[in-house]
Amino acid sequence: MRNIWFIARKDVQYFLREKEVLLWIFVMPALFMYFIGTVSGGNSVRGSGKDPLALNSLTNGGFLADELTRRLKENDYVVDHPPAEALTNYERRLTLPENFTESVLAGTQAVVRLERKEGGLAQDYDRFRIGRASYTVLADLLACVQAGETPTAVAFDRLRQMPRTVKLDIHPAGKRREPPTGFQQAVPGIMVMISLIVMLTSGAVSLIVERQQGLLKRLASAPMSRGEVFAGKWLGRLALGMVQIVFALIAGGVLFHMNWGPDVPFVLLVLTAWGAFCASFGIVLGSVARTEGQAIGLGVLVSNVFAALGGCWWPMEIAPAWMQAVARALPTGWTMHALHQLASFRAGPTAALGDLVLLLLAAAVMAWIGVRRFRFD
Amino acid sequence: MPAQPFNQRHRTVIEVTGLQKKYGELVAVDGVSFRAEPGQIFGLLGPNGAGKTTTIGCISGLLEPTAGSVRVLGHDVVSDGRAARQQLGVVPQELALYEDLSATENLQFWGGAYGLRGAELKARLREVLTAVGLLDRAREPVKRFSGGMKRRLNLACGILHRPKILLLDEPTAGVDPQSRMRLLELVREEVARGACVLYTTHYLEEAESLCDRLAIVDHGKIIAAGTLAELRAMAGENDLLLLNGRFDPERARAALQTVGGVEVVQAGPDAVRLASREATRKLAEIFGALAAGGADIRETTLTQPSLETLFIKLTGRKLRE
Ligand SMILES: Nc1ncnc2c1ncn2[C@@H]1O[C@H](COP(=O)(O)OP(=O)(O)OP(=O)(O)O)[C@@H](O)[C@H]1O
Ligand SMILES: [Mg+2]
Repeated sequence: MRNIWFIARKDVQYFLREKEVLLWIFVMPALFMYFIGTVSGGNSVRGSGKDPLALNSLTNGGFLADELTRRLKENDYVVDHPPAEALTNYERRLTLPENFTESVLAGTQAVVRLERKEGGLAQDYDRFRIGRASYTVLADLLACVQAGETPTAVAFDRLRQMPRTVKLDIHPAGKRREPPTGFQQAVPGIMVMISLIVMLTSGAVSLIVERQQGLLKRLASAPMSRGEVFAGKWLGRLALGMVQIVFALIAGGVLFHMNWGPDVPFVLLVLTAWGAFCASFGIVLGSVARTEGQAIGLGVLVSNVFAALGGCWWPMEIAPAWMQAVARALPTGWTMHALHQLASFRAGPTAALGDLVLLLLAAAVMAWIGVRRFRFD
Repeated sequence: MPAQPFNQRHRTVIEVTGLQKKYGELVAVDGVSFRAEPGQIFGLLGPNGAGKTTTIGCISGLLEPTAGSVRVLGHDVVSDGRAARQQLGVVPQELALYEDLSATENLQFWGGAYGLRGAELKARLREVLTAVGLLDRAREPVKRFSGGMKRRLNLACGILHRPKILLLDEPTAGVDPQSRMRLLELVREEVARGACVLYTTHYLEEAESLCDRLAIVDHGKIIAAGTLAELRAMAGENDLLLLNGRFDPERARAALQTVGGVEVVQAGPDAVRLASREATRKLAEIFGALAAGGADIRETTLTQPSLETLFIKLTGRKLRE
């Protein structure tokens, strides 16, 4: 046990001397979290703010255009009518056809066009809200006609005074079910991705260098067993990973207001299992790869593929079904799933227990491969 | 059982019996047996590829022997490896140092790997750094050291924990004469405090000046072993004479039969080796006989008895050819 601690401690000290390692542990995650978190929505919880919308109502919009505007406002838009040259300043633009009311009442198709500057996650939400605004106008129009009235602004006003027979009342079911965006996705995603990169590349490269320089060979003639050397190397890598993970947990919370949810100890448990897997993986890579270049190339490749397919780059909840199925087979997928369950959906430890078990199993299998592959020379 | 000093309990500290190590088809070590005792330097002398490093690897527990056994202070290195390795200090042929770390940090690492901690480690650090003359450079990263300085540190890492047995694999390779003197001095000090040293080299002078007992190895086998005096006696009183030129091997052999007291070690088309007592006195006679046998002699080298002559006598080759 003493020998294991000794090797682990020396390894951590050795890792933390390297500028590249420090950069990847403390600086890069924060930078990545900042950039990716900001462009994907920052801290705005969707639907809470009022989104500006430019309504480009061409000539003769009529009272239905006013009705639509009112419904858009009910759907959390600030509706402006900018002059044509200022239209491009708006992220969302809604264009109504000429003689909008007239053509609707005449029964011809009127196409309402939505333009968005960027795609992204909020796009669906815009489509949904604008659709809702349009359909409620349409529904009231039908109600008017059915009541035998001529649809006019006055008739719509009167309709509004009447009690609604059917009212759709939507409340969140307690837990948030929208896929996490902004920092809520980027902070855990980047943390998981970069911890994998660091533990794979640094973990493997240092082992290869030690082997090439005959240091492992020399260590083999010291009075410790091969198992102790392996365990020490593994523990050192796990410790390095935990330094990074704990830093990212704190930095995510303090700098980016990431909310880790009510089960932080369980979050830490999941991340420790994740670290154990990465530590073993690093040793396997360091035993299989022949050169430093190979280890770095393979490490970065594997990390990125695992990160992309496992849901570190975007929330798996919005990905196509086949991708979700792939993610369910990857340790990155288990970790991200568990973190979303615990932090974003607040679904409690039981919802993440399966992921934890899978991670521990994967870590054990990797460690077993590592022990079998470990070479001193 | 009454407590006895370890010297008496284990007169033999390294006991190698019928050691064999194969790499696939290649037999790198082929039935090597020897014993080494405390307070002695046991030398393994042999050319490149003789199997010296492989033998050391089997003793240090790095390599598992294909056959045979190695005992260190009575502990079998395979079945009781940790106890055996606890007594060893290993100085590998290839430098094994953390290049980014300082001399002190390297010593702390290797000392720690053998269980040295705290004040004891600190005290030894100073002693050893002073002994290898690196005290004033102790905080510099090793990658800034010269080759000789690295060699000295390499040795220092192996002796820090005061091992009872030192395995030194060509510790002076590529070192200038001054550094070499210093290293050999250190080795002698270790022996003086009672350590047993196993020393491999292909430098004859080093083996002759340093070792109490020697084994000459070639192609994985011990071809001669004993004290320096015993080996010199094996070399015989004969001088060795190497003649280069053009020869008809058969006729040269026949011609030399006529010269009394001359033994033909080797006869080839461009070199003939002879062993003879007081060869200087017979030179004229030898040249005459060979000339009569149609030989054309271009160069003559006379070597007096030494380990070199023994090696040539046993293998027909020079040690470093
Ligand atoms: N890992 C290995 N795999 C295959 N063959 C090996 C291996 N290590 C050594 N050998 C072979 O074993 C033989 C003995 O090598 P060894 O290194 O023991 O020689 P040595 O006496 O130490 O030589 P040198 O003076 O050059 O250091 C050589 O023929 C070498 O090629
Ligand atoms: Mg060697």
